[in-house]
Amino acid sequence: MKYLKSKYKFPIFFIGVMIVVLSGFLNKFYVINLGQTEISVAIGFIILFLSIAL
Amino acid sequence: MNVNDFKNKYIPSEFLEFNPRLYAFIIMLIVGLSAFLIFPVKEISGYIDPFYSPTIFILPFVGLYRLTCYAYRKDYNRHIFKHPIGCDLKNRLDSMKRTYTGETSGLFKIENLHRYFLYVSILIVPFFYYDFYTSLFINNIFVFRLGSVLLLVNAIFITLYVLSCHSLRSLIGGRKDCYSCMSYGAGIKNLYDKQSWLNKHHEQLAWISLVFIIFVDLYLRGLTAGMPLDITFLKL
Repeated sequence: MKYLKSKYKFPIFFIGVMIVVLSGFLNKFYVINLGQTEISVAIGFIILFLSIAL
Repeated sequence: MNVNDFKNKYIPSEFLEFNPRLYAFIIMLIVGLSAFLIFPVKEISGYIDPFYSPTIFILPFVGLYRLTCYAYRKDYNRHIFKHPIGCDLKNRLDSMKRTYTGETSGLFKIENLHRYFLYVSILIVPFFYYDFYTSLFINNIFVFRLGSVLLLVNAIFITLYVLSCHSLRSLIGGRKDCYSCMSYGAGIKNLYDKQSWLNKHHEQLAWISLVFIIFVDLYLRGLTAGMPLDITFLKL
């Protein structure tokens, strides 16, 4: 059963990847601290896995 | 030469039309590669990250090998360029309006160099086994850990991916017309048949090896961050 239309899958996957990578960059350059980075990376991975699984 | 001639000659039509998937793919590629350069993994308790294995200078060759791979070509032609959508499809949706030139136009000509990237990749494969071997010893003491198992499985997947390559199939015997006319023809035919069986799984092996090498990289990044992920099976 597919819940997500395939045309929405790629943009959502892209947003998930961008959240994970950009939070890493922001942490590297001391814009956000480690706790905030963990939360944003977790959100990014959830979006990424949902885009693949749904 | 005016601008239109230059466009027609060097830039394939797929790159010129509005394609958000292509832009997203290029952005992910640039951001991902720059992340690898900004966040390198140092050697941790004998493990060497497969991405930084011999040197970072080999990455372009491995990247080009995967980019020109026949399995990935099918994927990006179908899912990113949507051109052609399916080889056996009579009604190719919008692709009927576009002239499909394959690997004969402009930038796509680089796909013909897959064979040479294969030669470089064959030279790189032994380094993955060397990394597995060095991970077995810490200060001359033999230790067998979960990370070593992952490095070995990764090396095996990459070996199978390289050995199932279409270019290697051509190199072994695909370019020959007559096996009985040549010396050792039966042996070459046997080898060719076995490689052809492996070649059928090239697409799966390409994706499995790519996902697994990223998994091993994340595992070693986890170890570097201090997560208790490693298990020691044997220590002598």
